Amino acid sequence: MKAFLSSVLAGLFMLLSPVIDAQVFITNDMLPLEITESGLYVVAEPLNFTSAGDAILVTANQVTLDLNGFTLTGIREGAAITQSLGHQGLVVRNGYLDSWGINAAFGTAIMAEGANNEFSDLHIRSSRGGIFAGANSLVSDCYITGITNNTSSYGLNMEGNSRVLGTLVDRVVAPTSYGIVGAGNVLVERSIVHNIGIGGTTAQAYGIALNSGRVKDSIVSQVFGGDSAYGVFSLSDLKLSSSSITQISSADEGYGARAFAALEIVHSVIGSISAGPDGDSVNIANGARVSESVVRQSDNIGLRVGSRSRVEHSVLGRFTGDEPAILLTGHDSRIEGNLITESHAAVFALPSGTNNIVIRNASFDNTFSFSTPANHIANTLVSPGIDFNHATQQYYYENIRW
Amino acid sequence: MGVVAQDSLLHRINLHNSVGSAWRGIDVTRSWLGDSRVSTVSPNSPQGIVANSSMVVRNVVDGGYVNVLGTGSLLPHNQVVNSGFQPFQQPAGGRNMAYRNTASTTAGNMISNPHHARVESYPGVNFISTNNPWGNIRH
Repeated sequence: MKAFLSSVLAGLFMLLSPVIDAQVFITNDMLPLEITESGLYVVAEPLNFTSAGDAILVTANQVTLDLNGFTLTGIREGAAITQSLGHQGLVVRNGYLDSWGINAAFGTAIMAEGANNEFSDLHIRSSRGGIFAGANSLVSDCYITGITNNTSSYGLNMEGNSRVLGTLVDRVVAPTSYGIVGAGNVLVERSIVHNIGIGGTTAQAYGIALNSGRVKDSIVSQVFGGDSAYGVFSLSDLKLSSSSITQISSADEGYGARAFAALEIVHSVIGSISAGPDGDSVNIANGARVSESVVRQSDNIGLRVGSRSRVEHSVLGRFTGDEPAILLTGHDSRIEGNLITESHAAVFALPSGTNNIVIRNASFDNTFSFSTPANHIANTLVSPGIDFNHATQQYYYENIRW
Repeated sequence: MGVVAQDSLLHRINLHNSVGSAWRGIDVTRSWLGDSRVSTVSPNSPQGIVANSSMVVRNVVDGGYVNVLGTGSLLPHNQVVNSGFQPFQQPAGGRNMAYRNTASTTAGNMISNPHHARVESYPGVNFISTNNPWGNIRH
């Protein structure tokens, strides 16, 4: 029996040995290292790269790099790990990347210009840039902190069709700062972006900036840009759900959320915006929807609404400038069932804001309540109650003013 | 006390209490509270939801009641059941709007001290009540 077991174990070893043989252990004396073949590469000791250039250059497909809990440190120009353009399937996991490019003119922790990559369980700290992830890539369970640059930098830079899950980006400090910047169709989920930007007079800061995508179950807080600051920004379609966007501050243009195409905000909190003269808590273009959310506290407009949009069943309040909680700039929008408090005005329509419906909202403790929407066919209410048949305020159309 | 929040959004909370005196389940100020359930078997004036200048929408309060403090709350589409208390209670002069709620196995009028009552004139006994403002239903 013992002989039989021994022969079985020997057979298993023979079967597994090619896999074991495929592992390559990386030691400090191998740097700089170019990986030209697919396989599993495991860091065997702390790596300290003191030369200029990339520590590890990947020029093959399907390369897995396991940092094995060790730290890869480098302080000069270059990246800890670079994947050259045209390659794919790079996996980097389980370790620390420290001080990449921090004292140099350029450099970043990971520069993956290929595609279909995966980065997980990484802690990147005190570097000039975070992760450039390539297209169709996944970043998960990473912690990126202390990104410092004298021009422009990011915690994460995601190419199109990529995902960010369970990741924390904290402290990106540059004249143009991005917590997470992405191309089209990028999903950010269960992540936190915190303390982005430097707040100088010409500085721009973005918590999350995407061409298009979705932000879900995430938190963005403390974004500081003297020239402009955006909690969440999109050039095209964006859905923001179950997320919190707070403490966005700019001396000129501060926005909690802004999208240049369809923006949908559901079950989210957007608040504490120092918007400056040109910013809004939420700036929605045409065809947008804000539903069941809280938008509060800004020194400028709460919601700037374009055409064909809906703002419904939300709480808006504490807009302390001489601006309204909701500003209607376009046509055919519907403002329904909102509670609007403690602002200069609840709803105000610009002369361009025609053919909108403002219905079943409540205005409480606002200096002015509802302006008369142009082209609005008023339904004069005659039900009991002094606020329903007011002689000069018959245009309320099932709105209530307390 | 279960949850206390200001300037917040609370969604899909399930909270249960078995005892307590003047217990407060979810206490919100300037907040949005929705799609949650608060239940208790305490007979001693349990306040399932306490709302102050908040939106309270699509919640179920089972065994308690909704205490509406101050002014400026909107309370649509909630359900209050099995409390034996008046479902929505606000102080005299309270300026809040509760509409399209339902209540069953409760006591008294739908809302105490209704201010901006709009009497619905639809057929059916549930709709004809001077204490049944603006599309609320009390079974």
